[in-house]
Amino acid sequence: MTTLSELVGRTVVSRSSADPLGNLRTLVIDGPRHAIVALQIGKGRKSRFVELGDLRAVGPDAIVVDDESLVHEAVGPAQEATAKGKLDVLGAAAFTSTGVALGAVTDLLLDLDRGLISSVLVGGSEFQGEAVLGFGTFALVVDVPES
Amino acid sequence: MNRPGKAGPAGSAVIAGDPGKTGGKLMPRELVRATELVGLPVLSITEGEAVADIKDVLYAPERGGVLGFTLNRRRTLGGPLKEPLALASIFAIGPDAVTVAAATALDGGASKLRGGARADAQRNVLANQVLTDTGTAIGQVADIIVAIGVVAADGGEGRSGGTYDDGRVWHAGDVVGYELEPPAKGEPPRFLPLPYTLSVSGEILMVPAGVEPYIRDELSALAPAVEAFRASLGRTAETRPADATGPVAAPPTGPPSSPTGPGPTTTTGATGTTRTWPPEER
Repeated sequence: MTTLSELVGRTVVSRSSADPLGNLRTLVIDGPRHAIVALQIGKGRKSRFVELGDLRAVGPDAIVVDDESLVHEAVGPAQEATAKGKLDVLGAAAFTSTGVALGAVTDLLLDLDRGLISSVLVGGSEFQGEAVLGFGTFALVVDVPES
Repeated sequence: MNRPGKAGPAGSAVIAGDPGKTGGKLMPRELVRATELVGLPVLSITEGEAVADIKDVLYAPERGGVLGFTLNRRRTLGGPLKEPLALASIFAIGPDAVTVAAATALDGGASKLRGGARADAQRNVLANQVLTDTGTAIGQVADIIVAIGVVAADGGEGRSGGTYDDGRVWHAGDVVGYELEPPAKGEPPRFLPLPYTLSVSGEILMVPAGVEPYIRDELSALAPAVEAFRASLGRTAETRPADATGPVAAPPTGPPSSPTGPGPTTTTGATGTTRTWPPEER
């Protein structure tokens, strides 16, 4: 199982040209599906994105894509917000669906084979990926058991 | 269960961790002052966005609870939103946010207010006098105490007799007590449990004389006092309002009622059942 904090900063490389395309900044997440949608490469408005399905491999030292043509500018609201730095899951506020602030997201455990969030770490607590209900610029929302 | 979109035990959501490490706040405190809710964000669960801020609490004492909230826009210098957020559109009232399933919950809020009430027909009870039915003044209302948690699917209308069908004493969104002004400067505030039924007039809120032993000087002590007080009333054949057994009133189709709202009346008290997800259309 890979953690997001381990992936951040890892170099993305084109297999066809062997050119480094940039470093992974963060992930674009679909909250209700608790799924990993894309990777942000580089930071700021010049950052680019690659869809998770277009990755060839995630190795211990580099993330490989077949060709640079698979890397594109921000597409859609989520990627655009990510490019603007408004949507970074690491450090995002976590709330329960019952309106309780839990603290900041410290890390994600990732199931890259299935493209899913396995779990979310918030301080000393860990929530299953399936508990993620939504993610936006204000918060990541998780389900919690009722008393 | 608080889960949008999926079935299964909510208890499976937390796989590790100690709630104490998050300040013991995994479950909301059950009772809060209404003023503590003002300024909270309205959080869209599936979008992870704060779609508005709570501007004020719409309270109808004759209905025993919160009708909803008026809202402010989130952006800098954001003014008030025209439509209120009706209780029926809320998933949960929490200590740090009021949550809705999606931003669309804000649409058409005025028409969703409980029983067709109007947002401008709410009653401001602050500074109203609380009087016992034997004629003793207890104090002036400084704040109202609201039950928080997952809002019941019936929006607080599923009461029968003194309690809800689920046997609880209150549901989220019900007002179960008042904070009273300190009797003298320098003294602590007092917290008054409310009965199932409450007589309300222009500036006077009448409660049974038997409430006085249940007044507490700390909010944290109020919840058991409310339960004990209401249990004691259950043994005294309390009268329910005449319309309390009827169906939920439909929103008015004709001209709106008086902006001052319904006249003196009584109301049934109420506590939170679990609401299914996604919330049912009400």
